[in-house]
Amino acid sequence: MKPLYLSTAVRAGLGSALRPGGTTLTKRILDLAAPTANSMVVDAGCGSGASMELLKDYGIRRIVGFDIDPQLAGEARQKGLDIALADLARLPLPDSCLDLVLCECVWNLTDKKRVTSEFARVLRPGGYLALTDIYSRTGKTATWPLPCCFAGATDLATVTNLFTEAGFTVELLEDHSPLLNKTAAEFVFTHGSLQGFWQAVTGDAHLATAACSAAAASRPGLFLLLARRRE
Amino acid sequence: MSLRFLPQDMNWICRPCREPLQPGMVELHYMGNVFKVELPVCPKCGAVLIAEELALGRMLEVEQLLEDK
Repeated sequence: MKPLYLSTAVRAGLGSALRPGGTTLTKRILDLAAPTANSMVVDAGCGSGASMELLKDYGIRRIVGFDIDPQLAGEARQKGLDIALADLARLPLPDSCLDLVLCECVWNLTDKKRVTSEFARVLRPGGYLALTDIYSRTGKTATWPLPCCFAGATDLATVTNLFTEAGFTVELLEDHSPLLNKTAAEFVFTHGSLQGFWQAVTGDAHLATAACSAAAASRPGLFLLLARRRE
Repeated sequence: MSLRFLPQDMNWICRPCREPLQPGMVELHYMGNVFKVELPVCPKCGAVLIAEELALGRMLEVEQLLEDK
């Protein structure tokens, strides 16, 4: 089965940014991290390049995107963006070369401990990591019937501990769950119910029920974390 | 997002205006969120017909999601 983010129902519903709220949180990140025109920026898990286009509109000149999916990377490349296929746990970059790493609704799909260490390696001391992703609001991890960002979600204490242990200082942690709820509401309008949405994604009523049960157990929320590489 | 919620027969009349309802774009606002949908609308007074199935189905689930229930 395709990962959730590549399903037709999700791609049609979320548009090019492929995450709840579109580029709303990307704009918030730009306000918080305030990169300059000369900042060296990486979009880790750039997808089809929606954030990179926004950053270029903000005047950021030196930005490279990495993604593991050839289709999405190809779409980003067609927009004239600098893209490379790469595993986020093994970025083809020297140590301490970046001012800012964006990682939006991708981290949960990765080997999080290794990827977090890799972000610490490529960021310069004092450089920013801006991360958005799903977390479990009940603290419970649930069994999801398909690969998705929900399946890798944990509670926020576990998230912050991973970054602290990897050499980051967490400067800000915000809840943006209303953006996720709005996206879910749009899926309900489109597909009749959340059950209908998950059935459209999985093509199977039992898997759809399992996804709804997993959502009820973990009550997914959306967070934004801004962390700084310690000196 | 734009969705259509029109009855199979559009044979509905706005009683005060005595005008047949016509498909029209409507903005549904709830808790700061806006959803654009196509619904039967009175061309004269702007009254909108929301079918019971829509109100008690999708709209109820949407409200519960936005209320974070």
